[in-house]
Amino acid sequence: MQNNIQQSLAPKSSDQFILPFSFIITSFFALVIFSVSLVISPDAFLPAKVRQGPGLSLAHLFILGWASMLAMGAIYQLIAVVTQQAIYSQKLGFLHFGFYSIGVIGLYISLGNFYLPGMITFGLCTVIGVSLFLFNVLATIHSCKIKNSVISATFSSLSYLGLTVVSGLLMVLNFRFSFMGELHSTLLILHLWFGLLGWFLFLIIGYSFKMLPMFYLSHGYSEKYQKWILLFLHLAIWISILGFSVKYSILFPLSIGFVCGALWLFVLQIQEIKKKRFKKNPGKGIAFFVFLVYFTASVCSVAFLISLINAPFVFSQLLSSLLFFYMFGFVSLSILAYLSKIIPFLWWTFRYGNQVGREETPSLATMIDEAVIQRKLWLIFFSLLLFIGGFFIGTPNVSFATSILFSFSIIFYLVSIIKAFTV
Amino acid sequence: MSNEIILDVRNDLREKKDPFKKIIQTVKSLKKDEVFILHSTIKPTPLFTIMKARGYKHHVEKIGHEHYVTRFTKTSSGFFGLFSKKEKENKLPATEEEPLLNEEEPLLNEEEQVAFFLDNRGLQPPQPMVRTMKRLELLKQNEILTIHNDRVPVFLLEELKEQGIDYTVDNLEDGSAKVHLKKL
Repeated sequence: MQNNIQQSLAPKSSDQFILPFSFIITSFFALVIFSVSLVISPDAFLPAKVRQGPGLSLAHLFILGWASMLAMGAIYQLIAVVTQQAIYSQKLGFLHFGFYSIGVIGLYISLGNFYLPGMITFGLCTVIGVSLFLFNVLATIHSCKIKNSVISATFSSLSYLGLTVVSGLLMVLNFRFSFMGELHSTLLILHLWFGLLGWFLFLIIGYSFKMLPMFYLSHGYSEKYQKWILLFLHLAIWISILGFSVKYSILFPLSIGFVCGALWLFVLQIQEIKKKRFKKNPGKGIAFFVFLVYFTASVCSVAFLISLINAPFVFSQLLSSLLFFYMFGFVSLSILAYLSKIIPFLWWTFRYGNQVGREETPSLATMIDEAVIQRKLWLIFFSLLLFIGGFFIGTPNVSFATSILFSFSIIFYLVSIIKAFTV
Repeated sequence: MSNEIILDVRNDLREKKDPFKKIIQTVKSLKKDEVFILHSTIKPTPLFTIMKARGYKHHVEKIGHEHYVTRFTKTSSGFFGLFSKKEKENKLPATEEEPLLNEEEPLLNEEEQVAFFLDNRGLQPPQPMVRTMKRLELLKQNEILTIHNDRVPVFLLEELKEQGIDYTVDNLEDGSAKVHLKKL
């Protein structure tokens, strides 16, 4: 009933954007808080300290508050396009937003001080939020008759998100009741792999199956690699989890091998899309994302080769830097790069969608300067490489300088994105 | 009366199997005077070009719910007749290699290539935009093309600004939009 009233008051086309925007704008705040906190405690991510309070709370703020928050907003927006039907319930979406944002902010504060009652309370809020999200989107997918690899990737991604939450929750409970004993480190690996590889990689690659053809304007390309990419990713996750639980180290290179395989097949898939494109230039942000895929595939291949020779070295010395690059480089930069297309599109439709044709409307090009976007993305990329390099040098002054540069480059980029809202 | 070769791929299609290999094998085994009859759940549009190139003309009939019967009969000109204008000979094997997407229709059917109204609703992006761009390529000066999309096609409008095409937009009650495009 209330929904009907709202719909008759506001035109439907702009109403549906409020939910994605709530997530997107909140995620921007989280990213700014993250950047500022990183300057305050630049050593939080040093491999020796990352599992202590500040490192944990910053990692969760970045992953839950920024990357996941934004991804959820993007899913609410895109699921309608992919499944050709509206989200199961807008109201549930806002409820999810409420629980989730309170949970994430609370977790950030209580993890920093390792305050257990807070961790449990806000952890629960986060879990409720995520569960509402999972239910809402899975219900949408369930009633959708279309079956394709984008939907299958979304489904896998959401399932892994669910598993991430369950394993995270078990860890928190174990802090309180210590019932898991030695299993705790295995649980940590599960939590990391489900979250980082499962939730994010499936989402980024799966949504790229849809978004890249949109921006390249490609039609009729071969989709033959898509199912193999998804299969390889599943294998990579489960093989490495198996490897960790039975302590059988040969499985570890095999797992990296499958991630490599998936990434290179993704490169081939991008080539297929490019073959049938109508548009030469998909936009600088998208071109940067494609570069990032190549780069990440190359880094992963190097790690794979080293792991064949000396697997323990990769695991003990390189893994934290690799994961760091993956999360702060691949995942976060992919999202930032896509934003340069998504934000102008969403804001334009929200603000001008009803006026177009009647009044003069600004073009997308005036909302965002692609050349600036490109320069700033490169700045973040190189700052990140320096920041990771700083880990190996390990001097406090170097860490301080590189973390300031990295934080600054993120905020500097964000300013250009937020500027689109002022048009 | 010539012989009829009948192939029914409806079960394959229902089970989401790609019947393309089966079809091509049958087609390859056809003798000159044989007529090929295909039963399918969808209109086998992707096949038409390939069969045309092999010198067959087609006739489709919908005889029931999800049941199409297509009759392919041999004509004389064949492959060279179709591609003689600009396409190279080796283009055809390349098309055969491509896996056919079962429910994928070609971008614009023959009717739509000259139509002044395109219904792009219910299509997955980027199809609406690619279809429109394709049709715009063939549009003559001062002709008006109207498209009906699920939402205001922001990226298309952006592209039009660069192409010198004038447009007006009608936002409809249900959130969809009609855009009238005029080549200047």
